[in-house]
Amino acid sequence: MNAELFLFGARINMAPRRRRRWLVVLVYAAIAALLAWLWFHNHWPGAFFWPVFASVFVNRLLLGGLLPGGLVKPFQNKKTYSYKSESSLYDLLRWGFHRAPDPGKDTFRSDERELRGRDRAHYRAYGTLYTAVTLLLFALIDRVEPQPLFASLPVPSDLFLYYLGIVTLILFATLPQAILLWTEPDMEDE
Amino acid sequence: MKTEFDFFGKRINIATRARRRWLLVLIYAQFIGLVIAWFSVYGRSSESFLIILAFLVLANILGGRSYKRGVVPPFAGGDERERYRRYYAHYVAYKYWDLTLIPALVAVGVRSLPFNPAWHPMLQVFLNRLPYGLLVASAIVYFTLPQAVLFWTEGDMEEHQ
Repeated sequence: MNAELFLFGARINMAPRRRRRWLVVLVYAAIAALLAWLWFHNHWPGAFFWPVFASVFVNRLLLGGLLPGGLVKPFQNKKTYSYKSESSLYDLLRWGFHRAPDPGKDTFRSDERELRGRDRAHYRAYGTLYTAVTLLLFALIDRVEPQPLFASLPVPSDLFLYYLGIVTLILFATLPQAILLWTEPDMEDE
Repeated sequence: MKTEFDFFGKRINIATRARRRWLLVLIYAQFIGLVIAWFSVYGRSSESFLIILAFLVLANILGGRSYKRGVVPPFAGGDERERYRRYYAHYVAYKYWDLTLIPALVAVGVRSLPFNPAWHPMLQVFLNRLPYGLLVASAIVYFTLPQAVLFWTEGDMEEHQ
């Protein structure tokens, strides 16, 4: 895991666990606010695009893991485009969130302990998401039943199902990284 | 991992990887059958219930999670090697699972748009049911893939393990 976050050229020390936990809380609060806004302003079908874009954005620039660039090293444990180039255009596209490559050091590569942590985080994350997927399945079954259980909900069932799917997708894309950031103890400053 | 599969009292040897893979292919063929059946009985409670029951029976045969009698041992417990294999299987299984959810969400979006009355009624019925079929398939993959990865990748075993 990287101990520093690069925001508009500034280096933010994320070695203390407390700071990483604040980052996780802020990321999920922002996503929840976005979902709430979409719920009230834009029901169909474009609502799908923004949360997915937001989860790509936070993975790419803050959390890492699934995509290279954030605090958690890439899960794939191999070199990706970001680490091959220092292109100015690419830096510009990343709005200054650039992580300077450390010459002579494989900053993308995880050691044995980190790989085990990655696998354990996936196990814990997707064991928890089991509940969300079960809920999604129940909502789905309920939707096609002649006497739906959720008929009294003040929203159309399709909408409920749609948002449940979006929330599941966001959690799926971010939860292992969040668990790693949340559980990793204080690090030595790099 | 079990080396024998009890099929209505008949013991089938699954110690070799090739046999386990065949069994897994058969189980997934039945899952596909269940999704198609779900697609056909859309909205009929009694048949839906039977399909869920059939899914639970198949999941029980495959094992893993909290199922104690399946060919894959339950996820709780095991020695350190088994635990790390289980963690790694979860990582491999869910690496691309979210991609299975995207077609379902797109299908929900398409379903919400007004259909052209000129379209064939069968096409309209198909588009109406498609999101649910895709979501059920996605959920089945979610529930069973880590067990399937463990079952598929385990090497040949001693028969009397």
